[in-house]
Amino acid sequence: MDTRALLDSFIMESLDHVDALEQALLQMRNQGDPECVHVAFRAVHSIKGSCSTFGLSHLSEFSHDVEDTLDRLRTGELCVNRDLSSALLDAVDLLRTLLSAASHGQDEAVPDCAQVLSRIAQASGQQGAASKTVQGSAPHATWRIRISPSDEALLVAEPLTVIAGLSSLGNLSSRCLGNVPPLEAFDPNRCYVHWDLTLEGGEEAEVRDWLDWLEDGGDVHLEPLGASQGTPGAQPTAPTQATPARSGKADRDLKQHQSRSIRVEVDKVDGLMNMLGELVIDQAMLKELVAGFTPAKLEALHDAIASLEEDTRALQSAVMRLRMLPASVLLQRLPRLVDDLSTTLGKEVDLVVEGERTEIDKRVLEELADPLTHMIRNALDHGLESPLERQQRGKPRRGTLRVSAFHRGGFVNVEVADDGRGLNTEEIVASACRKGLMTEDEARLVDVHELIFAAGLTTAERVTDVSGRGVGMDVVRRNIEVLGGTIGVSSEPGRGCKLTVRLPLTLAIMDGQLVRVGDETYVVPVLSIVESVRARECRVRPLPSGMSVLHFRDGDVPVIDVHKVLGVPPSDRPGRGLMVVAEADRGLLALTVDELLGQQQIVLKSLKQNYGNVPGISAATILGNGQVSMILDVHSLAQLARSPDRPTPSLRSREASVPHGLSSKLAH
Amino acid sequence: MTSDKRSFELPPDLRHATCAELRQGLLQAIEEATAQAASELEIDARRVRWIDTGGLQLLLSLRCTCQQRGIRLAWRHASDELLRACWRAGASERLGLGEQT
Repeated sequence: MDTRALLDSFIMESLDHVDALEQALLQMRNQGDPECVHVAFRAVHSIKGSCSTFGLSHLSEFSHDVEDTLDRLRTGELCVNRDLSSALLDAVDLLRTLLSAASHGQDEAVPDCAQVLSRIAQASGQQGAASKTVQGSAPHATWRIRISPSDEALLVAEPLTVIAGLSSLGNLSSRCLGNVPPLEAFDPNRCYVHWDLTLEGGEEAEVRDWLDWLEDGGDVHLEPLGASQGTPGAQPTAPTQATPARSGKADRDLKQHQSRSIRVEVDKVDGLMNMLGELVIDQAMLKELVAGFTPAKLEALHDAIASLEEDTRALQSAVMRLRMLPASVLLQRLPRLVDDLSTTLGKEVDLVVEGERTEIDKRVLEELADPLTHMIRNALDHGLESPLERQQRGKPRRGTLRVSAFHRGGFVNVEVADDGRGLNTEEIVASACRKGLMTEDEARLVDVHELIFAAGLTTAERVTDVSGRGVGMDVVRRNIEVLGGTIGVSSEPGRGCKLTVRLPLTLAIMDGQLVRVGDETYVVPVLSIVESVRARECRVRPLPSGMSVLHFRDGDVPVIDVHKVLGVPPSDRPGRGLMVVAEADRGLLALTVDELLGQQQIVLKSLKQNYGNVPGISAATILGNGQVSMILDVHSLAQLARSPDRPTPSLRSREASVPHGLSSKLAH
Repeated sequence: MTSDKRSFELPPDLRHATCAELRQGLLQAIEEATAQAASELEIDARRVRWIDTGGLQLLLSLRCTCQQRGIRLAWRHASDELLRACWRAGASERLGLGEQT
């Protein structure tokens, strides 16, 4: 059997064991559950057991030492304390790093192993398990820093902000390197440049604090420039080699490894096989019908085609389901994150996780991990008060952080809500004005809460290694928008803040309702449609603002005139009050259309690569007749309608009709 | 009528989100300068207040385009924010910002 396949399988299984180990250690620490030590022991034992098969001696030795400590916990020789569980959690991180290296066929000694084992030994009250002494981190006077952002770095990081931060630590000299193409070939989303920096001043921890902001945006190397230039008596922490600023690269490698494969329940595969069988039968029926076709068999031919259509749809749905994973894959990482952060910040937090079984497209799930981490960091650092402050405000000492995943309106929604102090709107405006992001006059005209997504804005009184540099929420929004999603914020002073991320259910196929607006054919996502109505005039009431509302199910629903919003000329066959009532972020909306044309499954084609963001339009599709049709973004249409000086989107369905190669410009 | 100089005023915001649109404007200015056989493209940068890596790259790309087409890139009234950011990023020399008028 292929050794590579076996190794991949081992890595996947071991990662599961590491997850189980992490969960067990957290439960041991937080709930004192003695049973968890057995779970933790078994997990490490399983990893160690298979290492020798693949010649991974260093991983095997490290697992053995960790297993040893867990065995002593199991037998009662040792007791769990916070230091020991923290050291064991560090070991969990290191196991992931070693597994990442193993996935590339590497099994080399990692200096951190000695450090972690030493910490475990110290926390266990014994010395000698790790004989190598660990040198403390020392301040250094001069640093050489190389920042090499990845091609996609601008979507997750902002190197100039980091360089500005580094310059605050001392005398910084920078060289901006890399070839930037001429404007014709320039891609605004791609990062072409890298930096070679020399920093005189700053301690290693301070420098690394800033560099950590680039953790997912490429590679960073930090090295002291000669021991003689360092602080007298200090020893370099990395004497000969540049060291990665963090284990970010290992995490990325691991993510890449995981994203190449997907685990599928056997039931799903069985279902797929059944559907494939049905398709083979359909094909045989059609072949037979066509071979001996007579007009009398027309009805049977229709039936066979209908059966083929139904089975194709079922197969498509089943294949799509293969990509759907439960949100727990993402949410199960949160207890560790919250635990670490709350310890660092000295806060007491109860984490409530809801909707772990909500199914989300694998890619969406993977891309959501970093934004979610940023959101939680912000909630814990800025949102939740310290235990003492909460008591003074008459709140329970422990704050609550609620993370929920659920489906609504054809989208996946992920909410992060805290019961902290809420957004301080006055301070946000003051900070924005101080930083020159806007004037006080301009501030009166904007939604202040939205300012938290502005680049560079922070209201934190001090910068911590958790948050506070104003780098984060703008990147979060950018990442979410790249996935075709949106992020919104609501806040109540003294009661908390809630961030809501809305993402497409899948990035590939959806059910669409075709509608005619003027002479154009647009698509409305079926999942967002509540009802289609032909409203009598008495049910539509104009408002002084120029907008109208539809009286619908005992409430008023804003009417969006799609003709006007998208700049489509009126039809000579008007819809006479025909409206599609659809669900948007902030409630229902009634879209005026001229005709309902039918429903069909549509394959989403992104417009972003060639046309950028088109307001009111989320993507395009190619219909059965070959025509390109635009998919309406209900939420964005509402924003467009509210904007008094809205630009008219320049892309219409008819303008983009195929063939002649346009379909190839619409990326998947 | 032809002119030896074509001017372009940069907006206050030179950040990633605005780069796609600004790229189009700069391309148009370059095309016009080329069509007019202008020898110089004068960039008025007095309004620039915010610049990030995306914006910096766009300016480097503009410089590269001008060099390829034999058009001199001249800076006029570069704002303090722009000068500071480019100096800190080690890109002032590449952009010719030391030569601004």
